[in-house]
Amino acid sequence: MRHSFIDKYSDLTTPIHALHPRVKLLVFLALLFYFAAVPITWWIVGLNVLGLTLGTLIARLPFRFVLKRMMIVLPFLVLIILFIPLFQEQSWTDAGITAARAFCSILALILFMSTIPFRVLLDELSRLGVPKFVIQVFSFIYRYFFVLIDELERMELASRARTPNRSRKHYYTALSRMLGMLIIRSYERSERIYQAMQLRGYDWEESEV
Amino acid sequence: MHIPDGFLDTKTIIVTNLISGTALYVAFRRLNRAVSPEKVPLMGVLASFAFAAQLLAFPVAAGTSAHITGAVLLAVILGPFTSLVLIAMILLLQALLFQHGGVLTLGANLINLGLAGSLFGYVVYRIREDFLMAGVAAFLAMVAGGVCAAAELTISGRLPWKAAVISIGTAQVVTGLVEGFVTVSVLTVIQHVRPDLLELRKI
Repeated sequence: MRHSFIDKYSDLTTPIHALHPRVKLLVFLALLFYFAAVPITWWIVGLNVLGLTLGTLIARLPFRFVLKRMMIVLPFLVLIILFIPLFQEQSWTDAGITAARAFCSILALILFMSTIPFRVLLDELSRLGVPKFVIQVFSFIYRYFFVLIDELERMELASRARTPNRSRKHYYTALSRMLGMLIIRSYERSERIYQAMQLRGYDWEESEV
Repeated sequence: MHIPDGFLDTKTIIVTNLISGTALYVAFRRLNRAVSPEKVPLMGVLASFAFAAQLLAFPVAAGTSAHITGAVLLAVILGPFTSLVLIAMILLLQALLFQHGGVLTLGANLINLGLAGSLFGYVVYRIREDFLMAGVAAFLAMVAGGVCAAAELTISGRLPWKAAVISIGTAQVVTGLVEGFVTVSVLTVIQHVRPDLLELRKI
């Protein structure tokens, strides 16, 4: 089963990748605030998009990868742009500006997450005072998310093989049962994981991310 | 309903993050007092579960689909505060990894999903603790979350109130029905296979 790993391209060597993680984090947050709060005109929007595009070029992120990531939210943005002007109080320009704010934020998000390995991000957050519990749970998600996706895909495949012609009602029931089984299997997996961790000498007090 | 970055203005961002931050702080205090280290793998794996479950699309009419949030489900199994913390983590990851929702809007999204789902949903569930009520709670939580989202967008001046409530409200009623159905069936499956999972300590 194929996954696009969540921090693909995060281990390249470019000037942006080489920035100190804390600097990157702060710049990223500042950018988001800027996109959300500063009143903008089309001029500034153009400059922002240009700057961010330059960023992705310097970071040598493949164009198709960025586009694919953008596609997840693009339908939502288009819907909003079409929807807002239907109500007369607001004009097309307002709708466009709102969408542009979101567009820039998403581009910044993709640029940030693709130039910092997840592990490094967790390290940095932990140094900034995020509780250890949170960091540990995050690193668990990072490790086991794909395992669970695989498990879900296996169950889905098996279910489709057993019932080739499913009505919608059956499909709903089948999906819900699958989720129920997944939560039980997840729980049992967590028990096994903890036993394995203990056997290998896991110690909460001394553990690192 | 995940609000992306850029859709809320500064005052809404600050207020919603303050509210969510306070709720999270309280939840953490509760968790820290009650949770032992062996719960870390459990929380991690169950958070991954909710994360994975949200990728499962349930087809709704006309080619659209809804995914579940599982906030009420987690609250019924693990307790409201645990559920709130898990939902907050999932929201952050979704924003960072899939550009689903935003970073500055985390507070707003946590109100719409976490406070409405984990806390309000759990309070509704506690009225009569059975599976049907859990389903009703999941439905009401989704609708309440939709109304919150509409209010946040209106206060930010991005959408007129009527338009926001009608569009988001309709969407949330539909996803709420799916959420309610899934919550009831998942709880029924657990009851059949591992009833002891419903007896965990709820925090």
